[in-house]
Amino acid sequence: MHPPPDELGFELPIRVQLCRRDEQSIWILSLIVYSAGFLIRLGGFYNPDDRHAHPPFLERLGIAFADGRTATSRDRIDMDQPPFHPTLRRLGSGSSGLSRSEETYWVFGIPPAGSLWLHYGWAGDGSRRGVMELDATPIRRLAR
Amino acid sequence: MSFVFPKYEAPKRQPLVAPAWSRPPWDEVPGLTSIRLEVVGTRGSVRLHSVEVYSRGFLMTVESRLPQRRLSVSELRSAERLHRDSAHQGELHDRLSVQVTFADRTAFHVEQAKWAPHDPAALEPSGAQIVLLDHSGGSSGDSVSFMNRRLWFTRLPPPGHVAIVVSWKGILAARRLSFEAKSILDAARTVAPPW
Repeated sequence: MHPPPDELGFELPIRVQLCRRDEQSIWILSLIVYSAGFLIRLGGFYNPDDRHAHPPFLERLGIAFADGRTATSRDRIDMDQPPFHPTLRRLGSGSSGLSRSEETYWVFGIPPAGSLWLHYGWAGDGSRRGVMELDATPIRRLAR
Repeated sequence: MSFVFPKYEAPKRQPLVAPAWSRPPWDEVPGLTSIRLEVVGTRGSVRLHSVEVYSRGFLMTVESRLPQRRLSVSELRSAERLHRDSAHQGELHDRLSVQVTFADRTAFHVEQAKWAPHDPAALEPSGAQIVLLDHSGGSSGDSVSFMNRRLWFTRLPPPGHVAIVVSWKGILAARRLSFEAKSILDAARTVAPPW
């Protein structure tokens, strides 16, 4: 349910915009890769001078591996059962100290070779679903 | 008998807003680096990571980590014991000392970093500053207690080595680390608009 405590992890800067509307946007900043999975670090940007603006957060996130296995941040996790791959869990979110929001998701499981799809929804654009395709190759290389 | 509410007067200035120099710009998506450094000892470890680079400064997280003994059932039942244990862990984390020195000998002491002033009109002190943006702790997988310090360096480093000395009284002997400022300067050139 957490990154291995005895591993430092490798930071993979990718920085891609997931969604945007007016002066709000959510970006993937980086992935932190461990032997058993990886963290997804998101940053939500907004104009703090706009009194009506709030730090943007994703409503939902799902992940799909090239072999068809999937997980979402809303899956129920049975702690009495051995974990299965992949598992997706939101570890934390907040906006303290920065003029932006931050979210971190833990993906338990290393994706197989090929593409990796992130499916997401954000209330800021009417909860339309978006899909981002990433290459699993650098994740697999760093996880070794 | 009557109730009279005083007329509302809008605040003349916004409290709790830090001046622009004391935090990263909100209208920039930072450039990123792969910098992740660690010093490991038998009684604890220190990690430096999450370096994000903006056009006029950079963020870094300094994380201290202590092995956490799993408490027995009887210990968990004792609120006093839990409180004492938690306070002791906090004191240990506060002993950490980290010095960051740029190639031009500008030095920052992480343990002396101050919170941003809560006054948007506060003037930037002369010289490079280090501002504490966030200070949070917890435990991970109930085997490690950690404390994160999110730091804003108000200047970019000049080219050359960035030297780091980590010492942690009673936990880690002084250790030296370094990385090249080039990775930060390169990342500063990739800052992007957020929309």
